[in-house]
Amino acid sequence: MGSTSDAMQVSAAGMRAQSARMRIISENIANSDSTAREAGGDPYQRQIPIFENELDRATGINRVRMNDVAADRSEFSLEYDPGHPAADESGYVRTSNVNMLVEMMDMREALRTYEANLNMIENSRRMQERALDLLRR
Amino acid sequence: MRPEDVPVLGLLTQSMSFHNQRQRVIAENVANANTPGYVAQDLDESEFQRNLQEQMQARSAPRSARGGSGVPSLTSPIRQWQTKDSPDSEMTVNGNTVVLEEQMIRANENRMEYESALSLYQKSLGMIRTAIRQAGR
Repeated sequence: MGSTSDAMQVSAAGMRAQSARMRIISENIANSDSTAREAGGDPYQRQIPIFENELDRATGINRVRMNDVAADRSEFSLEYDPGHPAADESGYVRTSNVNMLVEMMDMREALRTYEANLNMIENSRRMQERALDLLRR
Repeated sequence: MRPEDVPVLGLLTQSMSFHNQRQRVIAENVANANTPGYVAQDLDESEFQRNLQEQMQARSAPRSARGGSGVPSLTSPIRQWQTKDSPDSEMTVNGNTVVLEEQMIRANENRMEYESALSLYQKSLGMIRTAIRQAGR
């Protein structure tokens, strides 16, 4: 019985990690148009969740957790908008390095993995239920 | 007398505990489906089958050859099985070798095997119950 509930805990950790990732993705999308207030400042930098495999020594199970969030170091894009407060001498504004397509793809992947974890919980639950049926008769 | 002392029930218990542990390992794989560098794990099924075979042979050996009376004692039915690396068919750029579809198939396979062992267990218990019931009731 222990293993099945362990399995559910692992899946739950997986779901937690994926929803944390979902949060990061929505932050990225929400801030995709955020620029600096004054010239020379940096706009919003895309954030990347970093997952880590973590061994729980007490129970010996391999969980997953979102270990860190790092900034995407790719180039900012430039937009010509001379009237903008953050525009430089030549009239260009640096905008965030969030790419909507990449975010959408990431979101899909997070969703898919989340559902896979949910499936595993359902699977484990059914196994446990069947075992409990032994008591019923 | 424990239920495991009945040969069939003992073997089925082992089989169920194996599949229980396998479920946990698969859950770990699914939870770590996006962890960079994670290698998919699995239990060694051939070792498990060999172990079952050995026990079946030990039980079917003539009583004199076993050098004692009564049922040979089982190696404890709850045993921890070793996990081994078992990468799926694809590897992503970040070195992760979990393919969700394959894990889902594995999980379903595992559940079916678990449930068939469980049904057999239930039926065997039913037979024993029938045997110990008073005649005519």
